[in-house]
Amino acid sequence: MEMVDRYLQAVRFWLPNGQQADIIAELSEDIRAQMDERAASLGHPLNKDDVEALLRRRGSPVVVANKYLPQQSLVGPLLFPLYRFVLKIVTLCILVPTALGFLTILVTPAMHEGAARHWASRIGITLGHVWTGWFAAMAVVTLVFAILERTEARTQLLDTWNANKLPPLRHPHMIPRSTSAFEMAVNLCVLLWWATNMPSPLELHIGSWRISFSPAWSWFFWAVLLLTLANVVIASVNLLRPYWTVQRVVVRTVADLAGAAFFCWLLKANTIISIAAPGSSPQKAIADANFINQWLARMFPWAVVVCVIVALGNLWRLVHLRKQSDAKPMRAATV
Amino acid sequence: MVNMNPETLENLKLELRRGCLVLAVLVALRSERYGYTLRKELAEHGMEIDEGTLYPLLRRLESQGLLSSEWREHEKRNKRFYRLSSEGKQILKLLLAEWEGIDASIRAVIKEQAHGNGRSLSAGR
Repeated sequence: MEMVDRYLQAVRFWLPNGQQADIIAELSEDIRAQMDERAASLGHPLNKDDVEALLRRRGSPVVVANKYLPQQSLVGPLLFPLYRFVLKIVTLCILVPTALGFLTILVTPAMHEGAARHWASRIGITLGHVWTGWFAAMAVVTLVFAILERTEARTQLLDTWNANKLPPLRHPHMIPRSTSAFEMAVNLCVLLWWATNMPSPLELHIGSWRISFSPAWSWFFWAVLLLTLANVVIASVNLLRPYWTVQRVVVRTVADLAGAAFFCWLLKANTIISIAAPGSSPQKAIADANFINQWLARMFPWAVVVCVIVALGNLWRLVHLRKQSDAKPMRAATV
Repeated sequence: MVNMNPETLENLKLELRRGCLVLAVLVALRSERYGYTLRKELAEHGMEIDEGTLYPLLRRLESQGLLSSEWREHEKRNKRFYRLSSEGKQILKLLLAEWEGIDASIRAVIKEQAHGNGRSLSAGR
């Protein structure tokens, strides 16, 4: 019987003070009634193992006590989807700058070779900051939602919505016209600027500055001209027919990859010969050009990362599009 | 044949029984009983309910005013006896009407479906 008393004591620990005696008295009576019945069916008094088996079947003291308590949750089922969404956004907001931070750490030793030995400690410190920041952010979000859960704000948050203000229907393959118009305007401006400020493929005029390039630059000059023109054409087509098709994604991917390849090549090609500011000496113009060339070369890893991201984005769009077109065609529902 | 997940079936059965348990307990407590005998009686009628569910349910129903209880000595031991309160009797009446309504609706749907299937089968011949 001592085992039963110990069990009841363990259950009592988890119960609210005001109800402990009442619940334990009833539970105790139930257990003893069950034991009497069991002993009668076995034909002998229960031994330690029998009692242990009987209590085990009832469940752990915490579980038993928990059933008497009101259902409690820090963030309830109504707010939980919103809570999870906010956590994801916050995590993303922390992870993206962290990834950029790691890239900076990876790139900077190339600039200052002496700093290479500090890599491990710098990565460790960054990870520590990220962990602390992420943990604090999660705690703050959880706290805010726990407060919302326990105040009238929850009702207001979930009840005050307007069907008229819901976001418009999204077509998975739609290209927003605003994006196409913006893309076209930017490319036209670049095209115009490129054509008017470069009287020859080897010289760029920016105000009173004169930037001279090596002959290799002419490849870049024509590439930019052609790619910008191609982008204007793609944006115009997208503006008129604002849906992605496999062909259009392939064309866009090729244009993006070509642009990325030329840009990466430019960073490493040392194409700037001199940057002549008004009144500066030829030596200064060459020194400035060398500085810019070196700076551009250091940007190379970043450029590669950006290019890979762009390529992956296009690839994802292509795969998604193929998947959708393999599935049955989607019907647009309009109300 | 459809591969059925036994866990899914168990969960659905549990969900279905959850609401019915309240009704079964209220019906059983039209006459006074203490927890252990109530559980045994329900089990005998096919409504198995474990003690971890029954006692908290009894407390909840009592706090809602549907049951009343008193501690009394019975067979040389103190036991808590429950019975339906007057409010509980009224609520039970309404709940039983609701239960019969649900039962009738489901039966009607099943009957209509059976007739519909019969019609489509004969139309297919």
